[in-house]
Amino acid sequence: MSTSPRPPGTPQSAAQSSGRHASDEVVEALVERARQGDLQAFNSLVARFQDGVYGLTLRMLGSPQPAEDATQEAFIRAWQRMETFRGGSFRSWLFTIAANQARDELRRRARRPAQSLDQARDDPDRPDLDPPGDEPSPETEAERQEMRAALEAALRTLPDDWREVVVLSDIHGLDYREVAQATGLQLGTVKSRLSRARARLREVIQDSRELSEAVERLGVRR
Amino acid sequence: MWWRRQASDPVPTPQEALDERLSAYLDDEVTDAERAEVEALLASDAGARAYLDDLQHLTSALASLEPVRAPRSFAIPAPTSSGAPAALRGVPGGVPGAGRLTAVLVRRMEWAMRASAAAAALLFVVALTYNPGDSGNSAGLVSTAGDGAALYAQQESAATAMAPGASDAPDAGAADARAPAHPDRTGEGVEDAAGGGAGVTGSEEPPSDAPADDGEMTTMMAPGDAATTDGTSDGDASRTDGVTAGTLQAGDPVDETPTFRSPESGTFDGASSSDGVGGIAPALGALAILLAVLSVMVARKDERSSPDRR
Repeated sequence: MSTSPRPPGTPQSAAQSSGRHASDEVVEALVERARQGDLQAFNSLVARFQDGVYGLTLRMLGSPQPAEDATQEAFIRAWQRMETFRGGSFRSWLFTIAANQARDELRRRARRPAQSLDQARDDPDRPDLDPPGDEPSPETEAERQEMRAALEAALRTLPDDWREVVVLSDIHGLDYREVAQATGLQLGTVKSRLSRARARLREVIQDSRELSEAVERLGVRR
Repeated sequence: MWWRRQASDPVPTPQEALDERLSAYLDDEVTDAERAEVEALLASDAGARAYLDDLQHLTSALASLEPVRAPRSFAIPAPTSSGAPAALRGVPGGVPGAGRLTAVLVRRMEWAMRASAAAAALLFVVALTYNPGDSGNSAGLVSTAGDGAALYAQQESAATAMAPGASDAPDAGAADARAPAHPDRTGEGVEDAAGGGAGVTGSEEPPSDAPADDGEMTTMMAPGDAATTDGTSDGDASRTDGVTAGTLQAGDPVDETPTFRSPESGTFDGASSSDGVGGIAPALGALAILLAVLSVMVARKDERSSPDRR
């Protein structure tokens, strides 16, 4: 990825530009065709956004099979409701649907305490959350993998509602309004939850010297 | 201020409020006044600068986690010529609205099948317990013929139900005696008794206060032969015949009711068929089982294909 560290005060949308390019003219044209019932155009949108939507549901739910189900359901619902899309960021609209699906699953889990995130954490089928990378050196790749695994573990220590906000904002690059739209929260609540989630992650990272060093190296490198 | 919080949000401590301000500043989600305030703080507070630096590293590291590869394509399959796939129920571009309607109809059909299965099962039980020689049924069938005929039919049932043990039962002769005009009456009685069972006989017991009037009985039995009439001279059967005869005197002609019961008339053929192997009872039973199996199959299919199954 080519993003550079976000200097204080730099707009998030500019810093995490990878998520912003989805709302370009191509996407708008595909969305318009999909609204007319063009399934092929909609599936082009699916291909474009499925990694992000799956990543969101996977991080919210913590295990692959429920994430797959939620992702598929999110795309089906999006297709069913294309006519209700009123413009704006299609990606954040899609993430709203996906987050709702994942939240529904989390509520169902809450009613079935036996199936928890702890269980998902121990899931041997839990996939490696590594991104498809460039071709780094084996040493660098091993370091990154270790750091990412630790970060993912730290993320899973967060309460569900905090994790959702930090995933949408810091991993998927949605701005506060988009996060508020996706989660149905007030902007002030998004702001406070994100701040608390970051503070908690910072504590977790500081408790782990190796992770702290890895995060610092990564931050400087990026 | 455009910031709003959920009513349930805890009130932040001063430190949490400062952290929030720095976090929002990092994301450029502050007003101009807030930005100026934060920058003044950063200029004078090393701890605030260190915290902001930590957040910057953290958000950068988190951003590096994206993207995750989807394990498969989540593209929606195109509808086939035979109809939209289950995943496309109610979607535009498939069969607009039809899929959702189909889903609703399938669910309703499932309930209709269950209700039909229950009804068929109930009818099956009724058909099993129903006996053409049953007093209730017989009375119902002959109700238009008058009370006398109805009671005669009751006695007819009682007699025919007891008929299979003709060599053992004391009233077997009475059964024979009342059917002189119908050569196959004994055979019919055996058939009815086999289907009706003992319960039918029990329900057809005459009132205990029924008078036993031999003379009237003889009158009623006039068409019969003397030998069989002698067989009814004692026990319950004798009193039963007395009731029958007495009632018949006040009612319709005796020979009309036996005609009603006659196999040749065809009146009873349909009712009698419920006792046969190929009759309505097995058919109802099979229907009940079939509907139950179908409803279960529909339910399972709907469960598998429903996207809301979780």
